[in-house]
Amino acid sequence: MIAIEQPTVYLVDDDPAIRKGLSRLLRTANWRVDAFASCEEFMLGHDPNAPGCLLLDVMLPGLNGLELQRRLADDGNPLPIIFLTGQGDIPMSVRAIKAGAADFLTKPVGADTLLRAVSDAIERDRETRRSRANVATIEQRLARLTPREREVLTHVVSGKPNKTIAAELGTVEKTVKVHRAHVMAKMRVGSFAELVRLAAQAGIGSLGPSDSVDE
Amino acid sequence: MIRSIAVLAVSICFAQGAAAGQRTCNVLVLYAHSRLLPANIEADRGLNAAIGGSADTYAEFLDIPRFHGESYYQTIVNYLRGKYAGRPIDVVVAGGTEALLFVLHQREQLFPNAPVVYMGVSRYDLRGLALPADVVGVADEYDFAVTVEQMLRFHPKAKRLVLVTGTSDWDRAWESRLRNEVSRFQNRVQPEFLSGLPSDELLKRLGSLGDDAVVFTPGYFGDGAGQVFTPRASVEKMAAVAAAPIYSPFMTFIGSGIVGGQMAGFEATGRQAGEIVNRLLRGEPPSSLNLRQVIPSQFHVDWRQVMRWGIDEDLLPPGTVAHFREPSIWEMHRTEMAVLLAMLLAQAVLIAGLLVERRSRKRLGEALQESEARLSLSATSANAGLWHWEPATGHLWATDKAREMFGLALEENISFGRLLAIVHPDDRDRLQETMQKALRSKNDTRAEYRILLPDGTVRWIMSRGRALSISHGKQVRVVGLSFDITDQKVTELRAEQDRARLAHLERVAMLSALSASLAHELNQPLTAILANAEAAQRSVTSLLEKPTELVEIFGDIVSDVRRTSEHIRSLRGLFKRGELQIQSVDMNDLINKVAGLVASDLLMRHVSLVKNLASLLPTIEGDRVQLEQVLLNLVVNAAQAMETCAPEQRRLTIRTEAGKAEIRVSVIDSGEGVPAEQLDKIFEPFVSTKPEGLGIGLMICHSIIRAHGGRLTATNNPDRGATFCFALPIQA
Repeated sequence: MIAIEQPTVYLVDDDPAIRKGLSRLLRTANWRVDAFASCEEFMLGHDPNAPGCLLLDVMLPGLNGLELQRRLADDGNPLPIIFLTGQGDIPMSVRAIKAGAADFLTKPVGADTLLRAVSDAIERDRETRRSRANVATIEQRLARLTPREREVLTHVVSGKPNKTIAAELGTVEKTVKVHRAHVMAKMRVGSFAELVRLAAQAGIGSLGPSDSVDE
Repeated sequence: MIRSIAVLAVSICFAQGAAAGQRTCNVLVLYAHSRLLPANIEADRGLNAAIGGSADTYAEFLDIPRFHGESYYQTIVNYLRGKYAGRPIDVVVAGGTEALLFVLHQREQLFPNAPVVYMGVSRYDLRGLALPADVVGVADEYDFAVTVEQMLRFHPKAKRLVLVTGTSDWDRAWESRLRNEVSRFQNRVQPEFLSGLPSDELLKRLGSLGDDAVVFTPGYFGDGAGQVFTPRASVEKMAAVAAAPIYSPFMTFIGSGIVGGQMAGFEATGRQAGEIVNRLLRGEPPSSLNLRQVIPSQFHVDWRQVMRWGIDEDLLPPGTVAHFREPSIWEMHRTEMAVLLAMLLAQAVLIAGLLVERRSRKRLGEALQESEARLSLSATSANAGLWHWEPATGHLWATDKAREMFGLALEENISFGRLLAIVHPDDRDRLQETMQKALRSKNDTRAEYRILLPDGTVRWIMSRGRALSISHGKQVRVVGLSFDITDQKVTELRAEQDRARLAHLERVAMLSALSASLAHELNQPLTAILANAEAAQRSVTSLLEKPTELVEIFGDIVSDVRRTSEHIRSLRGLFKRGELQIQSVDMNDLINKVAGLVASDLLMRHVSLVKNLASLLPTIEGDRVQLEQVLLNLVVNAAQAMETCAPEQRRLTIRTEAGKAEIRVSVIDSGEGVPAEQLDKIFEPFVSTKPEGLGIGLMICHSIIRAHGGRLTATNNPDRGATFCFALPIQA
């Protein structure tokens, strides 16, 4: 499913003054803001398909920021996370960044820094969602290939000439050509280069060495 | 007789040091119990003081009841025989009933020829024993009856006499003796025995006694759960929780929390035994010693307990020895006071006499002058300045000594106002208030204040005054005395400063440990301020069209700035090394402040805080910063104590309660509690249950609370965790 909604900045902080101030600031940059007082509240009200980014305080009563990050990752939720912390706690930021945080900002944070981090994170989210959507499309097309066509595709994108492919598959060159044309049509590509790019996005690369050695 | 002659024939020692070929005398002291038993330590001190260098003294400890039984006794016999084979023992001293029994049974195997002196054996225990002629001593008299009589006089409401004993042989012997003796009091008070209970159960029972109960206990060696104590340690535990006063037969218990009892000191017992040993060593036959029946005993009390239980001082029997009584200034200067009062009386009589006689004014004036001179002389010799003041006329008369004390010229005409001007500005209002109160109430009054002398020196003065009615009650005169107490004050202040310095160091160390969470508390409002300000800056043009929103933003900024500065102010107070500032403190308010400071720290530690605060809590007098430190320390300790338990169990409760004369603040955690062996000494320096703890935090808390006239205690909770509770007196 391709998300077309307007992205939202989700803000989680237990301090009401901060929720109010940061929401106000984010709105001046025309972001839609949705603020929550705790991770639990956020989890309840959040739609994983909604695009945007998460501005997350590290130290929260109940579930803390790092724990929420882990849960979202476990759920496969791609929402980029910008951490906000009251203290420049280096080990904590290292852990957060390693776990895939988009950014780690210390309080109090200036408008420029915050807004840049937010727009970067939302751009990143858009990218992720777009490429996820791409992969989904490619996979739909791949699903329509017959097993033989799939086999031909694998050999083709590894750069082998038709003749070699035919020999390896124990058939004639003409048959390979027909399969190849079907593959191009079903994958809706006009050129060989485009086919290779799509295959790469779907994780189909050149033949592994073991296959070659078998011959 | 025959045997003692034989003794002399076998070995001759010389009590006054050995010449060539002669040997010094050897005295072996066998104590029934362990070396560290306070009674043994005291008895040993008395014994050695009496024997001095006239003999070599050896001490052995049977360590009953931790060790006992036939095979143990045989082991000891073998050990003693082996050990003293080369040192013939001339006199054996048996300390305690069990030691005496041991010696009586084993002496044929041990030292058959040495006479035996016993000590620390009660007359009661001796009743059934037929002692050989060379076993001598003076019995102790634990006068249970006298003690109970006094208890019943002190506590006229008492209807129950609770007797606590334990499970060792010694404990059982006491129990049967008490059961025997208590029957005499049966129609006056209901005896109840708490014998052989597990300590926990016993302490719970003692804690729930009402004011119709009094407790008597000799302490115990063993409890119902098989735990072994020294009797003093057992009594100390009882006294810490008992809701009724405790009396005991032993001097060594004084200071452990008991009120007192009719007692013989163990040191006196030891000294008496030592004197008998000396006489035996000098060759006096045991049968001709002509000893008295018992060690004289006296009534001893712990004065603090007398105060605590509100015992009328007049009921104490004559000759009572009061321990831990701090003499008041009046008591310290008793003689001087007596002289002064006598002089005042003489003056009054003289004046009255002269008035009645209606002699000439001149005569009256002369006599007055003479009288004043005499009075002044005696006051001066007592180092006191004497004065009187008539508020109606403003007249203030003072002796030369008083004038010297206040830096006033001898001829100067002085008024109360002039005197007040000398008083240190910081103390002036307080002194004036005290004087006004004294005038109104006509009570005796006492004030300590500083004066500022013309050369800039500051002196501390203590004045006592009494308001007297004169002119048939129409006017008031205040008569008083002043002492210069600067030296005493300087010592007190120096100790106070040292304490404050240490407290400050500890406070700063604690705050730096909390710095991460304190910074968080500061950053929160700053984040909101910055966000609001930049939001306004970025959209100023559009906001100008929406003034209400602009006003709202400014309002938010202002309230967050206030929050920040409030936080900084309380931190600055804690970091500052200021002088002690006594002010009226609302503990609930203080708790809320401290809770704010540690909120982030508790959050990081997953500790949930429950505040259980009494409404209408009376205020107390104290130094805010130091009290905050105590609370902060207890809260941080409590949070750390819960590190090892599951996050959902980390619960910290702060509770306040108001009593009649004090308020109590408890900090209760749900951690593992304090190890039992550390509970007693947790307030001593360098005792820490935490691997990283320096161990002075609790000591400082303890001394801060003590300096506030309160007390800090630590107890383990019945379910889990520990409670640290401090009580502070409510201001009058």
